[in-house]
Amino acid sequence: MIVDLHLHSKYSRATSRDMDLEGMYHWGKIKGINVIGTADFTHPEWFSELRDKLQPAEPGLFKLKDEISQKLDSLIPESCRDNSIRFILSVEISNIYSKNDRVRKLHNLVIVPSFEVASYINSELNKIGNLKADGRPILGMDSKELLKITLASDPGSLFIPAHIWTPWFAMFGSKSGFDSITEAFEELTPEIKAVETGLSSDPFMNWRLLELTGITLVSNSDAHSPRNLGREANVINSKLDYFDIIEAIKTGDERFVGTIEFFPQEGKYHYDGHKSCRVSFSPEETLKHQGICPKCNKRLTVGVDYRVNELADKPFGYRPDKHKLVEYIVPLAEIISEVVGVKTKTSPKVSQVYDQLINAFGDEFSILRTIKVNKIKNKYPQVALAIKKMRKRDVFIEPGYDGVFGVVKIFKPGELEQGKQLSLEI
Amino acid sequence: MTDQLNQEQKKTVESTNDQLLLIAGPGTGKTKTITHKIIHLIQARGISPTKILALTFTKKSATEMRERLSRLGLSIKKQPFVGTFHAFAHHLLSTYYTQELEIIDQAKQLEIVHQIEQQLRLKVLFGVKTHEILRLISLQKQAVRQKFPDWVEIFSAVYDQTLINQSLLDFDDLLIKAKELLLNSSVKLNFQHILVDEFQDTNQLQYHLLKLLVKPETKITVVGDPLQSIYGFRGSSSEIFDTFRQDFSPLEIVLIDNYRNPGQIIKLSQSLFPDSPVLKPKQKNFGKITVVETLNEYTEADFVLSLIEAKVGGTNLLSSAIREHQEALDEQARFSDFAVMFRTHHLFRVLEQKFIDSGIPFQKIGAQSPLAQPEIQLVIQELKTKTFDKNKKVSQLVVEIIHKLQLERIFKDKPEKLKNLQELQSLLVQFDQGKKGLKKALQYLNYLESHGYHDERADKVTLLTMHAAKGLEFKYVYICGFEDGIIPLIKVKKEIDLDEEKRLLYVALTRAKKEVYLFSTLERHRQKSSISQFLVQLDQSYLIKIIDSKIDRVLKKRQQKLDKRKQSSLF
Repeated sequence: MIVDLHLHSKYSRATSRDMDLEGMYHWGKIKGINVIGTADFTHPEWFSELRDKLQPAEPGLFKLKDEISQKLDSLIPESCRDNSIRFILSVEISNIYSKNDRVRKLHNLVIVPSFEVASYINSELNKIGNLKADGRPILGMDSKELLKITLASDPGSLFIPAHIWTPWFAMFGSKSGFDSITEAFEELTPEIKAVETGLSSDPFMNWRLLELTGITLVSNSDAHSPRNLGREANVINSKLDYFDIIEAIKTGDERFVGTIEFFPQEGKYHYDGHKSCRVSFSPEETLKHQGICPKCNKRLTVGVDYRVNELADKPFGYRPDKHKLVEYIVPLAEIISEVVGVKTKTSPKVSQVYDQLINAFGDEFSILRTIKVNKIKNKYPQVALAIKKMRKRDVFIEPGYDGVFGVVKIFKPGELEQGKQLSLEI
Repeated sequence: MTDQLNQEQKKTVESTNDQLLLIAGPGTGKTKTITHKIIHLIQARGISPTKILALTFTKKSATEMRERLSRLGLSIKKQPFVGTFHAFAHHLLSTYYTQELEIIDQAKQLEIVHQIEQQLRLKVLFGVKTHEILRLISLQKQAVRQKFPDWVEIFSAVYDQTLINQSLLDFDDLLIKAKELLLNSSVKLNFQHILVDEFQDTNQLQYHLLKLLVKPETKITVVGDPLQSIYGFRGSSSEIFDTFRQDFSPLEIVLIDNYRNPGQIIKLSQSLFPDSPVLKPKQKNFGKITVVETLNEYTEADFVLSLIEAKVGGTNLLSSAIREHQEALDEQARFSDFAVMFRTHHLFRVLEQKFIDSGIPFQKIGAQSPLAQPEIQLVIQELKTKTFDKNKKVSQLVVEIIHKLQLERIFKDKPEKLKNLQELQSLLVQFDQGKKGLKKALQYLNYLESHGYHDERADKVTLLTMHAAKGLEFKYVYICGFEDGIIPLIKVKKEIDLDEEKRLLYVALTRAKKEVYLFSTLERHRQKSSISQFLVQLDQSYLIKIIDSKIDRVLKKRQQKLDKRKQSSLF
């Protein structure tokens, strides 16, 4: 089962208008996701829309009302139509506050089993700040207080510090985070059962911190448009039941299989640098320049790689004896855009191939993860080769920095041209 | 204990003079001095707490004083009476009065005034606000020496009679009855020491009461700052200090060390009053005072928001990544470090809307909560008063009421109102679970109402009037509408007290612990506006002046629009 709990609705800032339940449903099927967070349940308009359009399904889970889903299904390629989509009530909160004499900005996910519990949380947060302006509300409240509210709301509720390594808004962020979970949550630290690694970090990086031992590492898309759904996700082998899914995450037992990851270098904050100065540094280079930008002489935005090094207890490359599945993917549209030789993954050329592949072989996750490449290779030899290389992690990446996404290249110069030939050897 | 005090503070605490007048400017440790004096009276002089009376102007400062005394080791039980004049009057009346007392609040007062308006239907009152009528009645009752419009006497008489008929007392009555009690009866109150805080806010009635309390053996200490007297419209006056001097010939002590404000901000504020005692800054930082010229109330609000964003390093990813701001990041800044002020409530509309849109948490002092809005109250009233099928869920009831009252139709052109209704539902769905949902929902709504919708876990930017800012302090103070007609405020048909307006500016400026911004626009409410006449009275050497770059941009766009229209009208 593929689970993506962190995304945003059209009521969040800088989010696509298509991020409504219909868009999430449509793209969830095409991507091959089974359980999707509703996001933004604190927003009164969205809350009302959720109550109108969803109906209870399995315990703690919701599905689109039949009359809506039936209409949508007719527009979904037959190859994906039978995928089932369930929703979980979730929200991301931006906590901005001062602790130990420094301003702290943390994003946190809250996930709940029912509208009643969501309403309770809304009523608490409504006292703290304005929930109507943004689907991801800004609250001048300690993250620990939010954790307390979550714990008081229902035993089934779950609190997850979001994308913990990003510089500006995260628990371990270089700009306004903490150096440890304990510093942020004090005696409630044991209640942090899971953390979200974010696009710019992967389990390998997180394993290097002793404090994260025993805490489940989850991955979500944080999508602001439907096409980005599931760019990271969790693989969970539990019952189709909210409480079983949440227990899987909380305990990290065998029900939680692992995560599907973005290559962390592709994330916007992997390396250090300055976007406007076009300076991108590895942690080593940053150290050499003492954290100062050689162009503007101001402090560099220190990325995730650097920050992990700073807080890590274990050496680079450390891998625990037993660990969860870690699978890397490159979004299918990116693969196609490299193959067809266009820069934008939204170009009609890319969409055309994308649709063909989906129609022929099923949802995107199946294509990227499970389908035998032999099946694709006759008609799409280069795509098949690319997927094969991706699965072997045989890619090159120009790391992202200071808000600039990294660039993944699957083929070496010249390799693509030989693609047709090479593919015959698959 | 007194070794934490500076020389003048110590002198005040230990003085054995019978009458003492302490002049204490902003940030000079006024409350600290009074509380230490109370402790000194009890511990060093052996005066019984029951023989001491400490009077304040607001409930808040009374609470603060009691907390401070507790922190200094004097438990609540061992503390003297610390409270407002009204609280003391109430205490007196409930001790010595046999009649049942019902004291009414301002809302009830307004209701009664409104009823009388309907009864009397006086032509002269056409266009006079109910609040204003009440204010004048109150001044009349306080026997403030000023000329009142003719109707006030009649109106007051009817108002008073209405109260008497229903055995009600308003706040002024409390003081009047207390005064009568002290004049007539055999009530024997012998305080050995009376202390009065915020003396500049004392009105005539309170002062009379005070004089009656001072017996030959009573010592009295009053503390205040003539420069912070800003409640003329409620009947107080900075002349009260002279009256006190005449009546009591007190020893005078002036606190001059200021611990709150940066040097430049004190000097700037004091340049408004060249003849007053000079405060000595004790803070190490100099502070910063900037005057911003901007285009209108919209660009003004944008500027304020961008400053706050810059100080806290951005509240969302877009703003965080912007490094163009001239403003230095304050790594310790939190939302509650910021105050945005206007001279009057009605100037906040645009600023408030921009704050709502920004998502930055804020509270407006004195504002109504969204749940106090009429559309919400209609629903709540129904929930409170009608009986419903017990099997129905709360959210279902709300939907039905909205439907029954046709609120969706009535407010179909007011999306804000509809959103408020959605918000109410998103808060009440939680009570769908279990039994007694409706009862719990109503309890919850009552709880919110009784707590003023405030939560102490919340950290927010404060929007407030300059009056409301008195007694508070903030790192960053943004004073908007620094324009003629606003600061000083000019009202049609009303005399303007320039000195009081200047003192109000002084109060606003001295709230700042780090920086002050003064904003003036070129046009407000589509009318031309110009910078405050007080600007020239401020010492210019402390001012940084900047012009909002948006002025040019917006004006250019406007011109382009005009040109286009002209062009198209040619064809």
